[in-house]
Formats: sequence, C-alpha cells, structure tokens
Amino acid sequence: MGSRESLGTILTISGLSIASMTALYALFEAPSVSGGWEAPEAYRILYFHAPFAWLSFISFTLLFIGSIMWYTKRSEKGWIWFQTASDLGLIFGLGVITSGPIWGSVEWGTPWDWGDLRLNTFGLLTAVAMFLVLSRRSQPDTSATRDTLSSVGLFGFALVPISALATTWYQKRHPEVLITGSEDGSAGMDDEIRIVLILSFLILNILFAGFVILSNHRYLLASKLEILKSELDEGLI
Amino acid sequence: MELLKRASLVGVVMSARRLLSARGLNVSRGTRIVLSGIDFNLVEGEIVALIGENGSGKSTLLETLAGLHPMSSGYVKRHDLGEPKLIRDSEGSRGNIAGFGLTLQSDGICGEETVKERIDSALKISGVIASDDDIESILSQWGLEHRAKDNVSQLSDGLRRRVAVLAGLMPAAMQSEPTVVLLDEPSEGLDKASRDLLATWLRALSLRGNSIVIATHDSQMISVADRLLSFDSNGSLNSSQGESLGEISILPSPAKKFDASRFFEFINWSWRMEKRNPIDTVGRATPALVAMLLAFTLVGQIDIPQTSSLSTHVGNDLIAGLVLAPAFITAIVAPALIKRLAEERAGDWWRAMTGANSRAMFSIGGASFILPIPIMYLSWFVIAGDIDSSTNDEVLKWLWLPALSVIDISAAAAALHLMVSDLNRSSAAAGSLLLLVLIWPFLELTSALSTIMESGMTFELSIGEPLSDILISSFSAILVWGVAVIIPED
Amino acid sequence: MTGIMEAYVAYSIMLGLLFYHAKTLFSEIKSLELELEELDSSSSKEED
Repeated sequence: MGSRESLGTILTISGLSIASMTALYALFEAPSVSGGWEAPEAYRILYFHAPFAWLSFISFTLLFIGSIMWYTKRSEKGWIWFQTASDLGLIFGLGVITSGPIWGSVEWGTPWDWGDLRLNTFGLLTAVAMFLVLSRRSQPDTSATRDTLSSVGLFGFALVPISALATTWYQKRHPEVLITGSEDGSAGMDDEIRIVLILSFLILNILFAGFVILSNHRYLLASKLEILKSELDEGLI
Repeated sequence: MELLKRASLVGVVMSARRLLSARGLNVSRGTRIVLSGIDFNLVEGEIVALIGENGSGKSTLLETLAGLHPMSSGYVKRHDLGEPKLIRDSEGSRGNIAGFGLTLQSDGICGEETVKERIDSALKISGVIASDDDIESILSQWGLEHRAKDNVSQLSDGLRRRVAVLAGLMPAAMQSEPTVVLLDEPSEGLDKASRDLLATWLRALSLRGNSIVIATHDSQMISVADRLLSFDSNGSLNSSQGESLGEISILPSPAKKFDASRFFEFINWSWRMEKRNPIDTVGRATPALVAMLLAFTLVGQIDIPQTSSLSTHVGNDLIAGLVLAPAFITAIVAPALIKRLAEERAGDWWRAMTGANSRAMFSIGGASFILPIPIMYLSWFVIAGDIDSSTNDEVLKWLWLPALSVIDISAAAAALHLMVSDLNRSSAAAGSLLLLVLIWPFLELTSALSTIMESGMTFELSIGEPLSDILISSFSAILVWGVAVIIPED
Repeated sequence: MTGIMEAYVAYSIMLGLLFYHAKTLFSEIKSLELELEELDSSSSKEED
C-alpha cells in the first residue's frame, strides 16, 4: 500500500505542477485565434474546460459503477469507488459548469442555455455529486445510508436520458436559443491548438489518476480506522 | 472503596443553601394539566430523583425547572451566587442564568458537532474554559477519547447518550461554584460500565455542593438519590428519603471561568455547523442561481422598448425586480438552522442555555449575512450586465445598499420560520403564507433600484427617493422581525 | 472585449479546485494515518 500511496503522490504532485505550467502556457503562450470570435482571448478556457468535461464524465461513470457495486453486492470496494467518484465528479463538474458559463457569457452573450444537452446534463450531475458529497459527510455511515445514497447515484444515471429529452424538447420550443458547438469544434482547429489541447488532456488525466489512487487510499484508511474505533467502542470504560 | 451511606439529611437540609426554588407551578401540556400547584426546593449538595410512570410529569417538571415550559401560574428561581434570579414565571418573563448542566431525554445534540466540540460548547456557554488535556482525560475516563474528533452523528446510540450525559455533567464538574444539574433519564441507553461511572460522578458532584435533579426509573440511579419525589396518578408529589448509595469518583479540578456571551457562543456554534455542512448556503444559493438564470433567459426574450420615458421606467422596474428576486429568494428560504435545532431537540437545549433572548438570537443566527451582497452583484451582471455603462457604474457603486436591506429581510424571514417551527407538527404547516408580508419590503427595494438606474443615487429622504425606499424596506423588515420575536414568548 | 479577464477567472477557479482537492487529500491522509498510529499504539500498550 505504501507503494501505491507513493505512486498516487507522485502522479498528483507532478500532475499539479505540469498542469499549472500548462495553464500559464494556455493563457500567455498559446496561439491567438483568427477572426470571427466575439472574445478571442476567452477561447483559451477551452484548454482546461474540455479535459475537465471529459474527466467529470469519467468520474460520473465511476460513480455509477460504484453505485451498482454497492447496491447489488454491498461491496466495500464499491463504496470506496463511490466516495472517490462523487468527490471527483463534484470537483471536475464544478470546473465545467463555472468555466463554461464564464466563456459562454463573454463569447455568445449567454451564460446558460437551457436547451444545451451537455451543459445541462453536467449541471444536473454536478448537483447530484454535491448532494452525495454533502450527505456522506452529514449522515451516519450505515448500510441504510449507503443504500440510499447509492440509489441517488443511480438516479443521477437516469437523469442523463431525462435531461436529453428535456433539453431537446426545449430546443424545439426555443430554436433561436442555441450555443454552437464551437467549444469542442475541431473543424478548422489550428495544429498548435490541437497539440496543446492533447497535452492538456494528457496531463490532466495523469493528475486524475493520481487523485483516484490517493482518494481510494484515503477512504480505505478511513474504513480501517472506523473498524478499529468500533472495536474500541465495545471496550469497557 | 466502601459504599458510603449518608446520614439523615434533615438537619443538613435545613441549614444548607438553597440553589433552586419553584412555587405554585401550574403547567399544562396541550389540554392536559400536568403539574398542579407544585412547590419544589433544591438545596446545595442534594440529589433528588423524580420517579413515576411515563407521562406522570417527571420530564415536564425537570424541563420547567430549566425554563423550557410556559406556566399558567408560579415561578422558578435560581439562587446560586447568592442572589435570587428568575428563570421563568407565569407572565412569560425569562431570566438569564449563569449556566448549569442539562441533559434532555433526547440527546439535544446536533449531529454535525464533534464529541469534543459538544463538551466544549456545554462548558463555554456556562462560562468555563477547560484545557484540551482536561477534556481529553475526561473523555478517556468515559471511553470517548478515540471518538473525540468524530461527529456525534457517527456514533452508536450508546456512545451518543454518553456524550449527552457528559455534556450535562461537565459544567458542574469543571467549576468550583455549586450549580444545578438537570438530567432526564440519563442512564437510558447507557451500558453498565457507563451507568456505574455516572453514579459515582453524581455522588462526587453532590459532595462538591452541586444540586442534581434526575428524572429516572432506573433503580441504580434511584439508589444514589438523597431524596425521592414520586408523582402519583393525580399529579401530586410525595417526598421520601433516598438511600444515598454509591461510590465517589475523582472529578477533574475546576477550570477557569470567564464572562460568557451566550449570543456569541450560539452564533459560533451555528457558524461551525454551517462550515462543516453548508446546507444553508447551498439551500439558499441554489434557488437563487436558478432564478437568476431563468430571469436572464426571460430578459433575453422580452423586447424592452427604449423609446418613451414611460416604457423605460417600466423596463427599469422589470429589470430591477428581476435583479432583486434571486437575493430575495436567498433571504426568505427557511434557514437550515431550524432543522439543526429540531434534531434531537437541540433547540430546546440551546433555549434553556440562552435564556431570555433565545428567539432573537436564533433568528439572527438563522439569517443570511454573507450571501445577499454577492448574489445581488452576480444577479446584476447576469441579468442587466449589458446595460449602458453610466447606469452600470452608478448601480455597481450603490447596489450594496439594497443588499444590506435584504439581510434585514432575511432576519425577519428567519424569525417567521422560527415562529412556525414551534408548532407540534411544524412540518405540516404552510409557513410560507406568513412570509407574504415581506413582499412590501421587496417592492420598496425594487423602486429604489429602479430609481437608481434611472436617475442615479441620491441621499434625500423624501418619498420616492432611493434612500428612503431602502430605509422603509429595512424598517418594515425589522418591524416584522420584532413582532415575530416578541409575540411568541407566551 | 478580448475576454482575457474571463479566461483568468476561469483558470483561477479550475486550478483552485485542483489545488484544493489535492490539499484536502494530503491532509486527510496524513491525519488518518496519524490517528491510526495513535490508536494502534494505545491498544497495543493495553495488551502489554
């Protein structure tokens, strides 16, 4: 376990440092875009926004897997994944739904589009992740609580097709409200921009892996500690 | 250690100092008269056990002594530190008492607190500062040391009960001046070792002069008592001698005392709970943000003609209303504090500890102080951000003024929600109907913002000027707050 | 309007979230390991 913790630490620290450098590069060195943009410098948000969106998608997927593992088998490992994934889903989800509207408001004049599937789905899932993180901290850690929270996790999974339906219907009613897909529009993307974007994806994935390893380690320690404390509870005064 | 049996206390009782007295108590719960013409005296060093069937009035008497129940006649007074001080009387007056120990039948603890924090709160509100080492050694004595940093909600029932009982005992244990300790069924839910320890602590506390009232049906606790008061079926009390059995524990040495501000301790507690589990912030910010985004969507779709001055005025009113609505929503949402106080009757414990000004303190603790200003500014950016720059500059300079008034509205809303939460089935009550009165302050603020948008900020106080609108809004909110705080106290 | 200010804000938020989470992980792991050590050593002392 010591080696896994070391690996997690290395990945996290190196991931963070390189990610910071990438951020600085993105802000100051990455190429400017050619004309046709309302706020040409704001496009730089893309270099983190897109990987964040990808990683929050991965987190939510891990969350659903963890939910199923606990829900069907009461697996302690599944619960550890559940906890890790809800934390990471919250962090990366918050990153997406703050950076997206900031970019949207300045580029397309609109911070939110109720008809945009991706934005709304990420919004809903981030809200579910926040609910799960807050609830885990405030509720007693019993099987009953875990059952309820993992079913909320599965509810989040069901929200995806529901929000697809809802936003599609809304778009039909309000066809003029549309965010164009230029946030990941790869058509006509500069080579250099594409390279920086790929590098950014890579480095944030490495950081993500570090987070996952450390977080799983943390929740495993917490589980061991709780077992030890429960044994002490039984002891006499 | 040998079992100690106290000699008859009669002579001692007559000359011992009185710590608590109650006269002519008539207390009803609902339509049922529970206590009728009860007199009660408590002297220094006495342990009194209240015994009787469930529903006979033991808990009611104990809680009345803590000042928790209104009475149709009679009074309860404390006499520690020499001077008689009113705890509560039939006219609804309540006093501020120096701090005492209280353990309710429910644990009276909000789950977010850690074990150590709970002991700390109970001590601080009684004006005692204990060192970390002292608290740790006591927790260790009670088998709670390994749980010191855990939230109370994470504990098993038995451990949680230990914390609740210890929190009731600590104020007396850590101060040198004798005080009163009220315990309702303290041994219920405790394991044998804890019950034995409790019995030894009770004897030790009484030896130091503290007076203890226990409502109990546990024979071990009854055997510890010096005096037994039994409730019979017609509501009268019969007094008899107790056995005064039990070994004596070694208590910690008394700690430093300080002049506690109950208000500060309560606000501190409320703030810590919110920091640990920010459901109040999330609960207020979420509907506000949604309202903001919805308003933004609507503004995009409404064509506000800028041609005639009347239309501009209407347009400004609309925009002002939409900008203010999210902050208003933040202000009127039910405070999370209410749920925290409802947990295991934590609110009753705090009410007993904070005395006369509980409701005012609770409503201020439940108000939203931090959110209105940022929400207001965010709202402006989102909804009206692309308005012309001179209007924009003027509004940005003065938007914090109506935001301050929103804080007053939030205190008023908190007081209204608290008023409703007193109902037995408060969750079944349509409390939001009472909040409608706050629409007028909201409308005043809308006028104020609209005027600021049209003709800038002025500091004249005539009707129609933004400053007077804002002051009227605040004044109305404070009036509502005052009425909601004062009326329900009987 | 170039949008560069907005880019700064967005990056501050995203980087801030990453650093915050890393800090939380490291401090939580440290405190858990410490608590485990303390409890382990005090329970083995009792067995002696």
